[in-house]
Amino acid sequence: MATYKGIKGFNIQTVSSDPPAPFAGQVWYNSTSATVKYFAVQSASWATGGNLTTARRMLGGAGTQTAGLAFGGRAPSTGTNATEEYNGSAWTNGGNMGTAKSELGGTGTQTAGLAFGGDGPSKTNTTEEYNGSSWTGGGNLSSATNKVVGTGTQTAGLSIGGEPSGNPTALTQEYNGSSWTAGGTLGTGRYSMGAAGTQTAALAFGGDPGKKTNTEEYNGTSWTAGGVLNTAVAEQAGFGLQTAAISAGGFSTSSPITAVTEQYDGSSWTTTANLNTARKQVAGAGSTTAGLAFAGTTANNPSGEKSVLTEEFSSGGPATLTVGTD
Amino acid sequence: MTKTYQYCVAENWGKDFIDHNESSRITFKGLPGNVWQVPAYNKHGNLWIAKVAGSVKTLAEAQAIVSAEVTASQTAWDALSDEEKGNSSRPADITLEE
Repeated sequence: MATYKGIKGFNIQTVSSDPPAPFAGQVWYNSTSATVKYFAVQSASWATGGNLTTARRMLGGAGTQTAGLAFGGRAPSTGTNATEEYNGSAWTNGGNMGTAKSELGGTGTQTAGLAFGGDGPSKTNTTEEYNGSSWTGGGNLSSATNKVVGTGTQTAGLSIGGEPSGNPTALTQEYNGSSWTAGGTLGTGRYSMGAAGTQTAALAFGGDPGKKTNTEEYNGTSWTAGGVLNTAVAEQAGFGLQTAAISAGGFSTSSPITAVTEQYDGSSWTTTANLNTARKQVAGAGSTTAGLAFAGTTANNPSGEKSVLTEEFSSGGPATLTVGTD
Repeated sequence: MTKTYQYCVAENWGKDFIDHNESSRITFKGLPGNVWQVPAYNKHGNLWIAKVAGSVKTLAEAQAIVSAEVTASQTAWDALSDEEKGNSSRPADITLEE
């Protein structure tokens, strides 16, 4: 029978605690936990996170994987003003928005969130700011629009595109913490797309009408063409940075609800691990190393099937695993 | 014929219903009716079904559950106003794979 020593030329080391800096492929026996462990490079993956209290879709999202924020949305056929805060494992109720709305733009952090535009029940140009416990009014967008997306922070935010009058707009607006001013114009007017980055280094990708594949990059002044998504999609979750972004789920040309996830490196998109549950009209937050996709609809039905499901994205990488368990 | 997938019914309880180790080892597919598709003849798939206390279903049983959910969604969609229908398309049938 082959032995480990026969294969590797040495025995498995017995240690009382895990080595502080193991190398890929290293195996050891931890005498304290009585387990054989190894160090390996894991691939990207989505794991389930805590379920939201209020099932919803077409909502706003902000924050990080361990400090996320969900606000507004349709639950199921009318707008909600409910806000929930995520701590990396569970959602708890936050302060309610002043106005129930869906199809809104959202960005910022759990303690400094920004919500703007949306449908509540008619298209609105209002902005609300979250301080970690309550929402207060901010400056108005130049025009009422829904299906708008956001990125950046509460004091340096970006409103991108939307559908103000039944048609897509190419308008971008910049927020300084109190008022919106016009920014550069998208090359392609669109709504319900993904967005990521900051006010001066933003990314807009996919979207409607027509389920787009093209990406545009913003430098604080103007938009230029970026890489092309492998799958044309709208209504997806978008998060991350201009040079490291994720597009997850959505409504694609090949499927009304997709689980496809793609990662952007600043110039091109590559497919990565699929969501465990396909969904669209989903919110996103976080980064390419620790992201979050939450809520949405898991069946193509506008009157229901809103979701409470959360998934957490990991880019993978080196990890200590236990033989027989992992 | 050798099957590629197995199916079970399990309710997603949230955190770590599927963890990163599991997700990086096998591909999960969540379907209507709390039906989950995982690889057949796979240790990690079997371990996960045991962890979540999944109720294993044959392909025909799983298909019946999914189809019933889709039919209900289609019926609900059919009852919408034309304006509401204009915002989406009718839920599509789902055919499970062996």
